[in-house]
Amino acid sequence: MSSPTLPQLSEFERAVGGAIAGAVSTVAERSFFACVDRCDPPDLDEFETEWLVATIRFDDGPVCGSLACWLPTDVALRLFDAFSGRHPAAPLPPRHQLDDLVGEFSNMVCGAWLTRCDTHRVFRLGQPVVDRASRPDDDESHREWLAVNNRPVAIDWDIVQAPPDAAAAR
Amino acid sequence: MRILIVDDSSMMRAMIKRVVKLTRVPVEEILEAADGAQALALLETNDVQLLLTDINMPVMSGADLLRRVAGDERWRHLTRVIISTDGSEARREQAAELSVRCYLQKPFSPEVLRDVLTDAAATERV
Repeated sequence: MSSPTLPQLSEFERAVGGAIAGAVSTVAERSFFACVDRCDPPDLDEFETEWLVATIRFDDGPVCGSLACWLPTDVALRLFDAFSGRHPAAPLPPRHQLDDLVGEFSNMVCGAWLTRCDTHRVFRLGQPVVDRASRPDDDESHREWLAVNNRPVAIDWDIVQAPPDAAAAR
Repeated sequence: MRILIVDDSSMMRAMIKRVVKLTRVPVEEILEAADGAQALALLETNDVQLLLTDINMPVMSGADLLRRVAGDERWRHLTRVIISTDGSEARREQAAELSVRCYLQKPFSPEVLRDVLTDAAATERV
């Protein structure tokens, strides 16, 4: 399996990526009893699953922009089971509940990250918007790949108003 | 004790409800609202002792709900708890001005919520 070539990242981008990875770990481990590790970008051609993507916008805080969490459907289902107590053999949850779960996951990740950015400033989160896609977008310029329970999850971030000090994003 | 859970995520409400039941703290009824406006309507018609509310919600935010509650004498004894993704010190200071008893940042552990419920139940008995 060949991995795509990683783009060159600035110190600021690495700091943001590291901070977001930390937020995902906190949320996944505490609310979903899941293990999180850093991982290389997977070969997406090997995936036949559908992906859920929850996008959330944030403003009025230390930084403004958006964050998107890409989860394969099977990962979303496992997180759903851990969060809701559903037995894996039980009937599948309705689509709106799975969307709600993925939206809440992105909400918590974004909130945990922004809280760490600058604890002396409040921020405002928009409503998560959940869509489905056959694979994550090709634009990987601001993307962190993480292994959640050994399955790949991608977090995209876009900051439209960066703080003057890059350290604020850590 | 009657509890009102206010969160726009039905999954989060269900999770909080599940944790409440697991704590075995005696609860008479658990009410749910998806935003501050729905919560106010339920408070008007039900005798609620513990309010667990999110901050970021459509229609009416948790902060606006708490302002309304703080300004109404009828809800003077209502125990107020925030459960929010925003864990900033700035937000916690705002909450303190709205007579909020406790501030839980999502994600939270079930043990923390159990302690909040135990505390609220003890207050009710006094």
